[in-house]
Amino acid sequence: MRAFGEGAGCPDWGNRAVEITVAEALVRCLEQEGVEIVFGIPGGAILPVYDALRHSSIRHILVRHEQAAAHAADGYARVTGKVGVCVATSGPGATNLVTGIANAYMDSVPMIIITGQVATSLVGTDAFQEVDITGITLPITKHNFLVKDPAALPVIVKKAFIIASTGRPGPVLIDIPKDIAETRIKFKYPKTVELPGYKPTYRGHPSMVQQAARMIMESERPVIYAGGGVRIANAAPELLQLAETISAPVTHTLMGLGCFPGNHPLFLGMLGLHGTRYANQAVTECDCLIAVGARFDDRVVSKVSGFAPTAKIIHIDIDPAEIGKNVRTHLPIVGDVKNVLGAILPLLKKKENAAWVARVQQLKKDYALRYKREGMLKPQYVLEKLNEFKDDDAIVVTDVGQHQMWAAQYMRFKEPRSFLSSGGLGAMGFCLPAALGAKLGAPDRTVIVVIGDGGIQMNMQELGTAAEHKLPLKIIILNNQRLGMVRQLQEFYCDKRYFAVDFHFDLDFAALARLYGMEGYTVKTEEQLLEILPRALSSPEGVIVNCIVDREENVLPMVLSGSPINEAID
Amino acid sequence: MLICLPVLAASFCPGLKSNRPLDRYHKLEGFTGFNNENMCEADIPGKAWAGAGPGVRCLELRFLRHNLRGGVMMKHTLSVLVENNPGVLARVAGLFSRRGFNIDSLAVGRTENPRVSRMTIVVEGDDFTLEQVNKQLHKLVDVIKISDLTKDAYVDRELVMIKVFAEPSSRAEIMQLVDIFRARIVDVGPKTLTIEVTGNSGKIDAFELSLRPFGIKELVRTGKIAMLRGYKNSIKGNNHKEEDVS
Repeated sequence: MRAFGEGAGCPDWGNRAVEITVAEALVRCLEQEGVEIVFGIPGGAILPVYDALRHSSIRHILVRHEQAAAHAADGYARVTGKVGVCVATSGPGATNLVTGIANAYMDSVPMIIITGQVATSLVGTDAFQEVDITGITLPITKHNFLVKDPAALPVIVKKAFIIASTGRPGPVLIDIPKDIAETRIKFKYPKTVELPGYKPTYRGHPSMVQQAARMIMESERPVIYAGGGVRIANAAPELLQLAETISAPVTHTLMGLGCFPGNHPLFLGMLGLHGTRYANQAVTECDCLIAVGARFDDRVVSKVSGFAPTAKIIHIDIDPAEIGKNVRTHLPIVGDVKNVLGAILPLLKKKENAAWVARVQQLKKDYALRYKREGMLKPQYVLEKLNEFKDDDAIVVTDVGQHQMWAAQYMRFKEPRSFLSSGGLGAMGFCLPAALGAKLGAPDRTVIVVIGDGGIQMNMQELGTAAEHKLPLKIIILNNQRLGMVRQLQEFYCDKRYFAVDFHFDLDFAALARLYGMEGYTVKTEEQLLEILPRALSSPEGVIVNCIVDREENVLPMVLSGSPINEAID
Repeated sequence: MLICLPVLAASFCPGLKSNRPLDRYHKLEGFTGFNNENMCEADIPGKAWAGAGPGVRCLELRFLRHNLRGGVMMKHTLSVLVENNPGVLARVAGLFSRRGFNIDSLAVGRTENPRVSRMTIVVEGDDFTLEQVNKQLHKLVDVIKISDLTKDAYVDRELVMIKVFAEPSSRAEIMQLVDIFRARIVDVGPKTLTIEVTGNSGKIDAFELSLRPFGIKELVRTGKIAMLRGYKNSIKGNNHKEEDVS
């Protein structure tokens, strides 16, 4: 068995055995892993680590709430593809991270979380600021460690980085008691570690690959269903080549947005609950569904028996546990999406499927997305225009709710890692801190924040962090003075018995922007929007554009709970 | 360390409590006592024992039951090698509860290698559930290998200690039973005998049943441990963990 990390080419200086504290060793380990930025908030139990961080080349971003530290590390990781790192103290610091960790876990984001812990002598005594964070995060981390042996720290950090970034990525937490962090150890960063229970499968089984190629070539109405795995595996070029070779229309999940060029004739847009009707119809009619790095989430599948009823399903995923979990699969291929597609492609021949492509084009015409442009400013219009005015390489970060679905429907992306959103967990408050991380990860790209007035108030304190670090975020608030998505759910599922969804206080976000040294605009009409939007996007400063939009607008199409995806309300 | 969790007798299949047509239960090999065409949940013989007291489990009469998905419910004995790290038991137990898998019993102890422990887990479910149990267990970094012994010939054992009321008048009879079951008396009190017996579930159930008329004061039972018959190791093959990463 080959061990992990062999030949990783670590610089030599870190491997001389010198005696330093565990906290210093931790910082050295992070440096050797190429960490450039950590997000966090200090506190009592994590003091030794912060003391060591003071002398490091690693940049520390002091956020205003630990949840933001986790989301920012998440945003950073999604944009750069590197491992995001966040740090917090014991107790409340650690529990505040929990939402961010769960979010990273659900969306398979590589992340290292470092938490302080009370001294080992106090562990288990309900000490001040003590909480069993490894216990709490057991179901929401890929793995976690409580450091009990000081000398084991370098090995643990190495393992943590390997586990977080390989296979199906995910968050890994390291909990370090304060006395351990202060203990002196002989530091040597290991080049390899042994993980006998961790062996992700990267290459697809050759006979499965051959069968898949045969099934694809035999199909007459293929559809590709692309998920976040395509982004994680950097397999967008292979996906494009596959789609063009077999003339298969491509639909994507929320996580898969950007993995296939939005202006391509074979692009179908998002499928599922709020997916386009033509994507859902195409999936329902297809005879071969090629799922690539997607996990058949309930928001995609809706009614299981009505999902792709006539299709043979090929499921390519690196995580064997996803195969057959939600939907029956005819041909599973466990492996890295890039490798598997790379193996299938040479076995395929060019084919046209002319009738099927024509049928799909007809569906796109018949079932085009639509909304009525009358009365108040429409949120869909704002996003259409934003899509028009934004740079091609701009990064769009959304929060969770109606604006998120509209952004997924109306915005187009050419590149993966251009659209960030909280998918699996659906955590409001994700957007603003994730945008901080995204901007720090890609300082040369414009970062556009599309957010609701509900979501921005969930982590609004991070405007302070953005201002401090002069991060010019372009914040577009679709302000309907309510929790629009919940209101929509109450309309459909509670017979319009609206409750607890309206904000009865009109907050002037433009004025708020000026408080934080940003430019602030309020937009109420289409004319104002067309005037302000280009100015806001080209300004070197951070901007908040507070768009007062129609309060009654619903996200359509919408598949009601229990219906098959081709029966949407439009 | 041995840990045994009590059985939750089929309580997760509420939909089966009706007088549904009887094709839902099929008789299995070896059992001839029940032929009722209209058998439903309440008629499962083991059910009668479910309320008999702590530690008393349904008799393992080998019925094929179908769950709501239409899958055949079967008991599987999994032999799982894990790294002997702190928290590994919590990881495995937490996984079962969180994903709604039913553990019948779980026994943990170290192996010939002190860094590695073996968990013997008895889990009930249909093929789909078992596949998920297997795959989800594999995702735990501490889990090295998993093997479903049920697919092969294997030996399984449980240990039970029973404190039974033993008036002078009944002692002789109890000791006779002890002889028959090749059990051992490990403690004698003025009014009780404490008896240990090892064996497979069937034998232990039968022993318990035969002592019941005397009055069982206390009963403690380990989880099942198991091993493949013959030369083969219990852990073989490597399931999904087939490729090295560099």
